[in-house]
Amino acid sequence: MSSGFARSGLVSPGSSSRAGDRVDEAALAVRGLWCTYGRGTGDEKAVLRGIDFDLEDGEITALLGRSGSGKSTLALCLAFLEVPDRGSIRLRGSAVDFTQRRLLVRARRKVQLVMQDPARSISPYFTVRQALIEPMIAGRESKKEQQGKIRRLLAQVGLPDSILAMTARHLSGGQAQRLALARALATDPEVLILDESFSGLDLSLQARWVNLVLELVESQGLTCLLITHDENLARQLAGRRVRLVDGQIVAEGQIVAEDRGAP
Amino acid sequence: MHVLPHAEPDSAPRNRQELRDREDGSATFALRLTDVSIRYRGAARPAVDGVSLQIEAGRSVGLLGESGCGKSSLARFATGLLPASASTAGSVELEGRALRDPADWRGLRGSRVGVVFQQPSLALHPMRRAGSQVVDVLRAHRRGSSSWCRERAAELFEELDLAPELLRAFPHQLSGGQQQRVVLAQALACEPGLLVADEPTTALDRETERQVLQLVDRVRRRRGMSLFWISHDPRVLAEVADTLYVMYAGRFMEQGPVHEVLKTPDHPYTRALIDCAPRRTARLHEPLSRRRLPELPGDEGSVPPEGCPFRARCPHQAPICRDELASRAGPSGERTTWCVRPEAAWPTGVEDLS
Repeated sequence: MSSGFARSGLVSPGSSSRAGDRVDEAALAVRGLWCTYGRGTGDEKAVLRGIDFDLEDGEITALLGRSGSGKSTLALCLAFLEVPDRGSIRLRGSAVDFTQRRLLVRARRKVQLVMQDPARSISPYFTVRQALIEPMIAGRESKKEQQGKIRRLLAQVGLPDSILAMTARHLSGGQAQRLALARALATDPEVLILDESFSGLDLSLQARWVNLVLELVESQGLTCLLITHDENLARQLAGRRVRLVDGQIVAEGQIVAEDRGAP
Repeated sequence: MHVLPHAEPDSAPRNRQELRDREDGSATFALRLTDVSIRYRGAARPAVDGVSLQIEAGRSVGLLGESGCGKSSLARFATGLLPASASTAGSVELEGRALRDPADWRGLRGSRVGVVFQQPSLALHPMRRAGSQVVDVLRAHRRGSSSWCRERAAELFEELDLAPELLRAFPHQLSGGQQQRVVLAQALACEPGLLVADEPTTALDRETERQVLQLVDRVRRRRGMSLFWISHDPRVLAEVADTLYVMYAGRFMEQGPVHEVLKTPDHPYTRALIDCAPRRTARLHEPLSRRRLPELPGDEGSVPPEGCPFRARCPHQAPICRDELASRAGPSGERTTWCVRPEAAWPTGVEDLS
């Protein structure tokens, strides 16, 4: 049994988590979240319309939904990179105030987002070493601690030390993806959001990537939100599933009922 | 009732394939690739190493493989789009015509062969309206009047479930699925006998992907068009292909009817690849360690120079695998496996992937 399960004490098969119950236990708790694009342009679009949901501690939750359903906007809000119009996000029980920059920066370090195309989220001119040190700049580690941490991060994602001096643009697709993950881990996050990072991958690469994420979540006690449009992948990897339809959450219980109804 | 003397609705050819079958008295091939090898300058080994493939008119062939296996090189060879730096051997025959140098392709590509690639946003001109980009293709190949071209573009939009107002939209105003359908409209504009599609739905979400696949399948059946569809995803090929070829390191590993190959793979590589796919069974509240997927063993870079290219990673390898890669016909005669060892060694029957 994983450490995450033991810690959260939420091993109750069959019981679907209901919003409002365990705000304090959830790694992230979202209440009444609204987000609108194009405010004041006369072409407003409410992308998120009253989202309520909890990210269970130490578990992998899958967020399903079609393109345009608001998945990536929700990911940005959860990573504190997009300011919602209304609603609250609590990180381990304490509300994050989007107007207080210092708190916001601290919260951002705790929730890390890995984007769809990892190769494009790293400057092609950075060496692997530079790419890994960059997220640590705001941290408190000494130079020496940083070097030790870099090696540990590479080992965690299964990259050899020999690539440290390589430039990011010379990495293969699989290596760039691992580097993006290592970068996300560099701030010692508690929550990892993977936004379609498995899409379009070859099956053998996807299987390796799935196993690596499972290993990390288990060994580091991370909480993970997996954003995907692949139902099978969500079923394989996640202990909980929620679906975003027109900016609103369809809870897991309903999805399970759909599964049972399916032939 | 007045009946035209030559009107014989029951015996009229239903589609192009039937028409050709009648003319020749035998089934014709939309595409024939024979002993194709492709090598890029400076590469340690050939990207494609002596493969042959044929697509009967009106049939759909899927090519399954992972990145770097040579599947896109083969598609580019089949459409005359390889860079000049690639050295090639082997022949390509399109609807019975042998094509040798790039000039032979002019006038055929875009009219007799439609081509669609992965990124629709790169295939469309960002500053021109969707409708006029379809008109361009018709103008180049059909030389019709502009009003005829515009009408035809509108018909194509209707055929591909695109709203008429999108004719005047710019690519950035379209969703990924709509963009890919505009690219398909271009590829299908001149009623090609063959459509070559290289991972055209990989950038789309699963639901949109399914819609595009169903659309292509419908158009193909209605027009009697042949299809050569390349993908890394067996689920996609299960939906559009009749026959499946599995490729690894420039060689074919297995070939046969798509559902048979996916259900009871004969080759250890096909088997291992399908095992990697996530299953339909939900892992609700199962411990993390039980959600792992089987991995393909070994390193994708380790390809032995002769014999079976998969042998370094194969769980069933034997000394005999070092010899030349031999093919073996399946019991039904419809399947071929390029593996010298019988399949008895491994279990068959794969869970539903869909």
